[in-house]
Amino acid sequence: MIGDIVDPFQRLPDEIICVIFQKLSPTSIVSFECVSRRLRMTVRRLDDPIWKDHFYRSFRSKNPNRLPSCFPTWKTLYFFSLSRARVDKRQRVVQKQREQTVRDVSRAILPAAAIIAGASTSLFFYNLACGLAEVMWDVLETFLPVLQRLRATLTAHGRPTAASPFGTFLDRAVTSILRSVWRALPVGLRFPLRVGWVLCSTPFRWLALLVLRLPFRITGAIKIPATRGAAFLRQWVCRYVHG
Amino acid sequence: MATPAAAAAAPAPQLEGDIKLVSEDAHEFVTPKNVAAQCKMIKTMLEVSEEQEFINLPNVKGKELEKVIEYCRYHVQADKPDSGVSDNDKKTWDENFVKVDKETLFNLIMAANYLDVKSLLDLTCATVANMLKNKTPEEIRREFNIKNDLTPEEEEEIKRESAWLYQ
Repeated sequence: MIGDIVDPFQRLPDEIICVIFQKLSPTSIVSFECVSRRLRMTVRRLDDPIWKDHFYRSFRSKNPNRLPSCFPTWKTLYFFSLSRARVDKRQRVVQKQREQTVRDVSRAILPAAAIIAGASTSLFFYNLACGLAEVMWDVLETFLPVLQRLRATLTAHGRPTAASPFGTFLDRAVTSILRSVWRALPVGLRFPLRVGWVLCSTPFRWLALLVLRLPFRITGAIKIPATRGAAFLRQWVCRYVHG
Repeated sequence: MATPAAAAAAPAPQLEGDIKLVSEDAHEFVTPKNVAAQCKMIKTMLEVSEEQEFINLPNVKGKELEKVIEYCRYHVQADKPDSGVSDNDKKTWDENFVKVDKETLFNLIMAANYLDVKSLLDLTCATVANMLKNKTPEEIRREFNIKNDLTPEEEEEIKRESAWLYQ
């Protein structure tokens, strides 16, 4: 055999050195690591997940001689255990890397999932609230003419007006009854009723209509059957109240 | 519809005729296609175009290509059911086959890797692994003419990490 070849391992790619490692015991691999810088780097790269499967499969599938070839003494066993610890550490490092990757992915996905779930829930309740508000508004709108008449009656002070064409004793009697009822109400109840009254006035109606219905115009109007029922009721009431 | 397992079990189509393999240094080897197809790379090329008459192998020298063809030819013959070659005979033949100088051995590794002959790659790598077994770093350096380019600090670190090797 001719032995004048110069460092043949320089020519071999890492994959092939890895195949050679699979056929060596860890003891031989560690001694191989001490030969040159390039081989040391290759052995070190075994920690990389790319080689992990090749490397540890060979550990599991075979029963390599893991003890040093010299006669074991307490000292050699101690240092051997250190080297085993290093190999174990490599295993732990690889395992840790894998777990870290899973954690990183979880960290990336979970907040996104939470945001999507939160947004979906919020949107659902928002749409529900808007739908309810629209129904309530439709019901309110249905009885608005009645309320307007009532207001006209209260503000007419018994004088004949367009809202109260008779201006007679009947109006005065109704007004005095309503005033008595109003004064009989507790002060705490009068304020919300006043606010509600103001909110029923025309500019606020427009504003409320704008605020409540704009999202439906923008988001594509989630249809709620009750709204149609309320609209039907309103038409029915208008027909029979206003003639 | 054929299952993948059934497809794998089905015999591969027989390649008939010869093909000329041309090495990096322009050596030509005429070999049966079924022998050449032991190299997965060549097999793939033949599957793409069965009518090819020659294949250029720019990364393999004539000496190594001859050895690879010799290996493939033997295993094609030995793997036939009526060949009468036992596993022990194959093992002995393989051991004799890799009794070559180191230069050829490493070239064979590269050729087997390039031509994708897994059994030959395993055989040659196992031979190199046997050369490395139970040797100290200094003996490995001497065996393969490797220059020690580690700094004294690195050597110290390695010795600290694997001190039991130097007892």
